Amino acid sequence: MRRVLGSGAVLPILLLSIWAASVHFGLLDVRLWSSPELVLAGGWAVLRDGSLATALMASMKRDLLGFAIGAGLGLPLGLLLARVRLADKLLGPTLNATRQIALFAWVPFLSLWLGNGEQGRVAFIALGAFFPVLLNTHLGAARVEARYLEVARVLCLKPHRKLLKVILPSALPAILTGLRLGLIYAWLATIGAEYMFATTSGVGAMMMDARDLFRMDLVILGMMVIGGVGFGLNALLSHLGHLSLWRGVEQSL
Amino acid sequence: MAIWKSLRLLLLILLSALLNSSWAHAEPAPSVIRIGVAAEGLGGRPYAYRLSLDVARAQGLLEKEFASSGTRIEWHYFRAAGPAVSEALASHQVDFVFHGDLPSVIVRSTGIKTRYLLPLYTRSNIYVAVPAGSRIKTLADLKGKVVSNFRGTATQLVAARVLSSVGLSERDLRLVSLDTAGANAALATGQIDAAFCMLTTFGLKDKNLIRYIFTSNFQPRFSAVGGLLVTDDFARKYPQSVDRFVKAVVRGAWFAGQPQNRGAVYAIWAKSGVPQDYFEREYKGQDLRVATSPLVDDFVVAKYKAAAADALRFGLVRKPVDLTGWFDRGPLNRALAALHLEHFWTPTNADGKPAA
Amino acid sequence: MTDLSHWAQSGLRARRPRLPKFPVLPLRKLKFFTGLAVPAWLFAVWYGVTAAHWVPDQILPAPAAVWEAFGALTRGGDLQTNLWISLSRVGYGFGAGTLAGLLLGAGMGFSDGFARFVRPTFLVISQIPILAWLPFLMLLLGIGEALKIVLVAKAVFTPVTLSTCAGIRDVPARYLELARVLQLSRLNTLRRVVLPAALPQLFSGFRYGLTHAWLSLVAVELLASYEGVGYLMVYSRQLFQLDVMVAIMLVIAAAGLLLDRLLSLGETWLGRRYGGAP
Repeated sequence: MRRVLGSGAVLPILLLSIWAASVHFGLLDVRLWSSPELVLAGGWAVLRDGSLATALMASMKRDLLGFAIGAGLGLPLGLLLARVRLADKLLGPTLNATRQIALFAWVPFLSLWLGNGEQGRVAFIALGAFFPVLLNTHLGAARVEARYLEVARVLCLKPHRKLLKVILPSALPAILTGLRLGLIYAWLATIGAEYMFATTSGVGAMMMDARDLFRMDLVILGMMVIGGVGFGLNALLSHLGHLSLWRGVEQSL
Repeated sequence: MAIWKSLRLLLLILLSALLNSSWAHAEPAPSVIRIGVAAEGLGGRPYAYRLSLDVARAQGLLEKEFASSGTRIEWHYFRAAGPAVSEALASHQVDFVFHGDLPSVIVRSTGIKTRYLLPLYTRSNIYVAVPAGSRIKTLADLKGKVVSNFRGTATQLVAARVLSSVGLSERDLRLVSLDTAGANAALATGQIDAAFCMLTTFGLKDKNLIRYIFTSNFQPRFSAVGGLLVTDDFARKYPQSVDRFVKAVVRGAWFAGQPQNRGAVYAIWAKSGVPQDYFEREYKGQDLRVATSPLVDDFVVAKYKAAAADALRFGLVRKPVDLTGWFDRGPLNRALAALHLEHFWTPTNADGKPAA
Repeated sequence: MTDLSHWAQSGLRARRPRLPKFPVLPLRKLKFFTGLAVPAWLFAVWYGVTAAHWVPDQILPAPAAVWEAFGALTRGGDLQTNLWISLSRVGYGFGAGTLAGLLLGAGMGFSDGFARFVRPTFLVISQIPILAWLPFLMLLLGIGEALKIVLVAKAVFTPVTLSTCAGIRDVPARYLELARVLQLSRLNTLRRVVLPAALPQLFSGFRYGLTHAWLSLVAVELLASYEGVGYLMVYSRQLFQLDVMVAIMLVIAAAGLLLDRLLSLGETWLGRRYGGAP
């Protein structure tokens, strides 16, 4: 166990040392590349004055709200499309085509229809979470094994019982994959929203301001915080579903 | 029967209460007034500069004016400037806006109904900056280069005029749209060849990171103007509030126009994060009373007409924009009368000279 | 107790009320049209709403205006030039990212030691969403081509690495055993055993990477570019030309679809050449 832990840490420590040394000896421009000490110092400063916590709170709020809306729409719709053939035939191609529109192409429209405020941002984040959840739910619910369906028919289960007792449990792994992917996309959309909609609060906005002020240390700090939050959210959901990260990729399509 | 009697009584009481309330204030005041400003301070600070509105903001003149009717004032500053404010107008998120001439004209061309109340600045200056080591010496050298220009803002129109004065057009350059802060960063690191910018780049110049190859020196023909607009909806619903708003803004402009307040005005503008001495350098020899004059005089009208014509000429709007009926001098004139400031500012003619 | 055997025998016949017989319709041909029903209806609504001016033109342009804008863009050559630039950026970035991803993924997949060494660092880097890299890369690389290509490559790199590693690890042990028994050379093992088995997973990684790549490219072109479809979108957004914006959005959707189709074709072709379990 210790050997595994040890060998995994070698590369990061090596890279950090090279970074710190290069900056120290002037091989890399400190104004451009910053240094580990500066990043830590900058991080401590924004932690102390509370601005990091405020920014993080703001970002998390929109992320979770947008995710809730997007997943809340995607899950039932995915179930509907999987179980009701007519719905699939009618809505499927349209949703498929809409899915092709790169997420960020929606920014100008959302900012126009809903304004540059919180509504537009949350709607954008919801859109980001919607399609992964929809897709994976559809996948999971469409592939319920025939024998389970047969049992449901034999027992003459009413539709809502069939849904609860047969379809949902069978589709659960796929649904959880969808939720995890949706969460990843929602977090990505949150950062994107903070860049593109006129935003003053949040970690993404903090990073953009840092970039404007040439504070590379804060930019790197922001990246680490964002990565950390993404990791945390992922781990949380993963724990709930007991799924490994790697499997998620194949089932995303 | 008794029930009908009591119902009728109730109805009568309600009706009288309604009538009474509408008599007490001739017009209900809005619960909130939302102001959209097409500018933003350094690092996202909610302050702008070079506007007479900034004085009203700093001194809380609007808040004081509307305190009596319990109206809350909301300030929204937009880093993405004109275009973002236009979007806010389209989605009914703001009531009053500060807008440069180009975005105002574009908004008018799309049919969004606004009224022009008064100018918030009437003289502006533009610089063309290049990184220090650049080989670009004149405007003509810009051909084919990567140049930053904040698209959709008044600066874009000024830049187009500057380019056309040396026979170039936007198509001859590779224009990237960056906001003020982004342009500064890109210039300093040499990522772009040139930028159309303003006094915010003085810091880079002082550090010898950039050079200016052109400055318009406040020439009226290269100057932009920016003004206060109100949505037609708001103006129809709350005409009295519009008057009160304009009065407060004019008070601020009056403060800015007095020579002894020059330093104080610079200090107010410095709240945006731009150092105070930048304003002293920039506005040296300029009369602030003229630059912040709220009069909708011939100069201002001519400027907007020119903006509409130039926007069409440079392909920034696709059909002619009609400005008739857009200028609403009513609130301004009433404010000037109420504050006895009718003769404080001198109207200027279309060339920027004082009218006889 | 109910006698379940009766249900088991007849249970397969669903007990649904029988609908009265409709005249027989050519249902097979109609299937194609049901897919178009919703888009057709949406289009009709779009046309109707704009024709009746229920929504102002600045919020929703009329279909005719969008068509006209599309025409103007193609006539001037603007659309073609910028679309080509965007697609080529995706091409270069995808190529670079896929190559890097395949190499690292193969390394991690084949060698446990290497995986132990590299995986934690890789996971940390992959947790950072692609857009969070943007300010960092903008400061380092500026706003030129390098920024776009590096960002796209990074977007592709992570999913390809993960799926390559997973694909290789998931090759059933018995296949590898068979290869050893048949004394296949390393190269042949790779070509005839590992690659076909891992192909589906590889391609799911490619597909995810491509979607991610297109998404990231549009994002970076919206923020810092002077050419490309994202740039065209920003241009029209800032000048409030909504009809142009809608036209560009449709182009972006079509391009995304095209890229996806190309990848599917590639998968089919490769599948035919190398696919199928031994």
